[in-house]
Amino acid sequence: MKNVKVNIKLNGRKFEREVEPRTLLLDFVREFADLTATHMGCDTSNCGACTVLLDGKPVKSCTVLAVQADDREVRTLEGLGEEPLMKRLKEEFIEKHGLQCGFCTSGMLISSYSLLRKKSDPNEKEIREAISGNICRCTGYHGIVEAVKSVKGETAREKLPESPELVRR
Amino acid sequence: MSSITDIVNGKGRFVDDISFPGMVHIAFARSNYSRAKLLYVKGGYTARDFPYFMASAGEGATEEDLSLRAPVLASKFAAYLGEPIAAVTGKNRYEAEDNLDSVEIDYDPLKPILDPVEALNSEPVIPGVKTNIISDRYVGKEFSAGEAEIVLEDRLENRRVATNPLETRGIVAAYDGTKLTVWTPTQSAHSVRDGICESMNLGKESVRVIQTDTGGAFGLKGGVYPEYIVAASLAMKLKVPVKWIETRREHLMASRPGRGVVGNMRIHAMKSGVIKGISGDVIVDAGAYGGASWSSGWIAFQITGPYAIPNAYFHARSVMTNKVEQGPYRGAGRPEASFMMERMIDLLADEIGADPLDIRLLNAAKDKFRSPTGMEIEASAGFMARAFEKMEYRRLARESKPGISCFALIPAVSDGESCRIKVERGRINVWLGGNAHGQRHDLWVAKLLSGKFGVDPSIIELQLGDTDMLKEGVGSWGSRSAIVGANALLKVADKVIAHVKKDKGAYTARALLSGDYDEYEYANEKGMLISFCANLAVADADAAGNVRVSKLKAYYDVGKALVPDVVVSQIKGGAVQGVGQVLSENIEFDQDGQLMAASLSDSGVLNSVQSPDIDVYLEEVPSRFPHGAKGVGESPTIGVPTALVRAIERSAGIRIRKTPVSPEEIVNARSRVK
Amino acid sequence: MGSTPGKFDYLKVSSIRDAVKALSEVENSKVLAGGQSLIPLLKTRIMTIDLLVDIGGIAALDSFREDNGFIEIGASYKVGSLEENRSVSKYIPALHEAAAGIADPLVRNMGTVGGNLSHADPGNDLPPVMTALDAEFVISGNGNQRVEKSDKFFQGAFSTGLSHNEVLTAVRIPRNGGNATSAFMKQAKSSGDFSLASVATVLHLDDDMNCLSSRTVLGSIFPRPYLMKSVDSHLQGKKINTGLLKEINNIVKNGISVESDFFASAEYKRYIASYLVTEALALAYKRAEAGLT
Repeated sequence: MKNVKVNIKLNGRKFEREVEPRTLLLDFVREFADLTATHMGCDTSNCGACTVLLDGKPVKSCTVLAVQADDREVRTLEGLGEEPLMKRLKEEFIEKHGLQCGFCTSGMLISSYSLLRKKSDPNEKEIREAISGNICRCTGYHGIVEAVKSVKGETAREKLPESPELVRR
Repeated sequence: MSSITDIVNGKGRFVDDISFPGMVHIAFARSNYSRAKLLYVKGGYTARDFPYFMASAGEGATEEDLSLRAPVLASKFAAYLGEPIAAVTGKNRYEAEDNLDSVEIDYDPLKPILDPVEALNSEPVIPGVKTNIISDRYVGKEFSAGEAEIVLEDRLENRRVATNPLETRGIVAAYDGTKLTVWTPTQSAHSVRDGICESMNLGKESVRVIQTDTGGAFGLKGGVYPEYIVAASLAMKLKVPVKWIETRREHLMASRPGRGVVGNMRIHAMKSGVIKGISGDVIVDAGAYGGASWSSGWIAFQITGPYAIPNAYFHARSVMTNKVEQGPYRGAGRPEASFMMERMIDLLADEIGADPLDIRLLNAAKDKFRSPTGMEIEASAGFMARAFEKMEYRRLARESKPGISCFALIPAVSDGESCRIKVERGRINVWLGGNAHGQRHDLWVAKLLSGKFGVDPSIIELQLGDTDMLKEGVGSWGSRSAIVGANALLKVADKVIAHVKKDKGAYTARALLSGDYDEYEYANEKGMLISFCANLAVADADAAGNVRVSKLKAYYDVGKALVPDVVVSQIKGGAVQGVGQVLSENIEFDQDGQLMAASLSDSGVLNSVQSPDIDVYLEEVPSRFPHGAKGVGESPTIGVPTALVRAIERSAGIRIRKTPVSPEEIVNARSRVK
Repeated sequence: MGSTPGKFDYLKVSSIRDAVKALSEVENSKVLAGGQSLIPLLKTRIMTIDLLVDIGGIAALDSFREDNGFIEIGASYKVGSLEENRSVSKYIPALHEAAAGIADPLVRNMGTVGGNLSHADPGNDLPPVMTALDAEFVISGNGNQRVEKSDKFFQGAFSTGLSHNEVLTAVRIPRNGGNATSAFMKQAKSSGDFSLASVATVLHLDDDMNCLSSRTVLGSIFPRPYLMKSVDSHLQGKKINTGLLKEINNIVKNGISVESDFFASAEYKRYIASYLVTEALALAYKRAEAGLT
């Protein structure tokens, strides 16, 4: 079985590696790039603890092969740290108890971030729908929804500079 | 411990984030059958390499008869689906799983016995024993039905539920030739250490267990597992660090799930609604081997809850089946007990046409009460009246069909907890025997200690569990860790203050921080601490049987809330677990013993769209402890299921006897009623 | 107890011709589109393959094209794109509803229309909708292209009319002539997100709101989508009202022969199928009355 070369722009930095084709994007990010914010919570494509942005859209990195991300942009939580919107979300996650154990948190933050990028003023139903691919076993989701609510509306485009690759579709 | 800021920045250190050069990954070959003779096992590391048994054999085992002790690796017989049989290693997860191909197992499958009631009288589910009953006791006092005008019977059941923390089990182990170090997410570093030492016959000084950031536990991570013994053994044998991370499928089939109880209950009452007695059978599905004998008697003990019921008598049995051993799941016996009581009291209310609150108030304890099983409660009537007034039950009952529940929470305060405070270079480090994994113990530790010491809370840091940093410790479970932890913390703080006084003549914060102090105490605690709680739910089931929860309320006496926000957050999260138990959570097998829950979503964990919010009201009647706190963590998993089941029952016009209740069961029951 | 895929070779193709060639050469090979059905299966190691042929790089397949006579959806078009497509939500509400109910937003961002159809999981939701829409399945094989209807495409649980070396490249949905309306409803398994039962219906109405023709399809109950001709013929020429829906309910309940399985009894399957059919018909009709389609 032949290895293949992949070239992934990970958090704005080029990562070129020879990988086994079966390598999951999750493991590429964690093992090769040593970025451990992205977690494996289930291997059954349900929990979303492994959520990353692929070309600006949130996906489950445990259900994407690294080769599928070849020549594409991947952002993990580490790579979104300086985004003002993400900073606000993190503050509110802490403030509103949007986490307890914290294992789902990076995925939750990315799905919430992604929602607010798409729609700056979502209602509760839309918030709940947007994070429905991310399972939290601790909070009952309430604190997470409240955190997103308190950031919504702040995301008017002009207030938040953003990296161009994040909005590329 | 990673701070909450570290966690939101993705800088937590969970067990899978720990890596060492040369580390190998472990994968397990597991039984494909729920019950089978193993004709041969070839390849990988097997019981021949690691002939160990799990430490806990349960109460049914004797010194001579060790058949009830679970083997770490099965060699002759597989007693449940997913039982570990052999281990292989690889340089990463992929390669370890590839190497499973090198393991050959030949089975002679037998018909599995999966139903605990069938198992009561069936042939033994494992070899070497005469009966499947591993715990058999009568709880309470026999009584005669005598004057009771009404006797109602029902069969009630909670099916098994996976604990399903988002982070599964996992372990990293390394051996330096003299000492084994283990990193693992856990509710108790000390119980993992003790379990490893006992299984492998190692001295406690030769094993160090360090808690990693722990991605949820809910009972799962209280103790030691066969896989951990294998990892420890492999680290010592191979002399390289090893890692094992449980897959979700392994979790669903082979970690210890909770609930799994059948109750055949009889309630004896007067037409007035006064309950004269409750009796019946409690049968716990303990799974294979003897480790899970603990819960049947514990459930029976607390069935009467907040009510002054003069007679109670239960036959409590834990029965082995061909499933993985049962374990504690958030609530651990308390929700099961309350389910029995609340379902029967609602049945009685319906029988005599009484309002469910009136009948509860009628039977509430008007004064201190000692139940026939020995459970001592304070007067509960006043609490109930306040609770349902605050939750506006009467008003809601006029416009909808709310279900209500009351219960008495018994936190596991017994045996207390340990604490160590170390003051060094102007900083204060704290270790607790029962550490945190999302409960934000860091907040109350900083709050209580900064108050006590008169120092800035930012110099106080709660550390993760570590058996080398803290001599002994119990653990975080049973709604206990803040109560007994804070108690130990304040005691040790007093010791530190006394030490400073002795050194410096008088205590000042400056004197404290200019010195080095290191104090430890195991604050023993006997006796019980019981608090009252109540819930309310409104729900309806549509024509397809799908339930919509429109209102959930909780009114809990939490004692003094150490950090009120955190208390509320705990209750909200637990409430959704309670809803999940009622609506969807289960891990079912087909008749051949194959697991039908193959994914996290199959096992019924609720997502954000399916999860209702809950209104939380706290009553703060201080406890006897200096900090005034009572238990919190398990309350919503006790009171929400019972209130919600009642709400569904009332709206659908059917009787609900089991959790979970599926849309199909609602539809079928409704069509029978019509 | 796998959580990682077994080993395989990988080929990223830039044309359908290359894909077909690669599939022809290696017997135990599979097409990778979005991977949302395939990758979970590979991770269990229940399925092992020798070659994975990735069609994700063929840009032309990630397409949505509206023509006079039909809408053509490329096989790599994302379920999430379908969900957000305004044309779809406006003109084919059933398709929008089905897309929006598949798994979760993260899966929909990767999962493709072609994948959902080709995987042919009875619990999938696009198969009954495409059947109700009388879609054509455009299939490319060794040097030729063929077009099949749903009855030839779906052959059983996880089984389609695709030969091993053929690739589904697009589905074509005939454009709704005149007064057409549709709806999709499902009942998920009591735990889990796959459908236990689903119904897609497409109604063509005359100016007086009588049913000219209809296609009502039951999903998930049977191994493949089931076109309920008895329902459609009963609807013909009629207005949909409570009385008619009652009759339809009976037709479904008595007209399907199902077996109990682990997930549901035969009784509940009949019940839920008849319930969903009447609800979906009522919803579609209501849409037409409100002039929404």
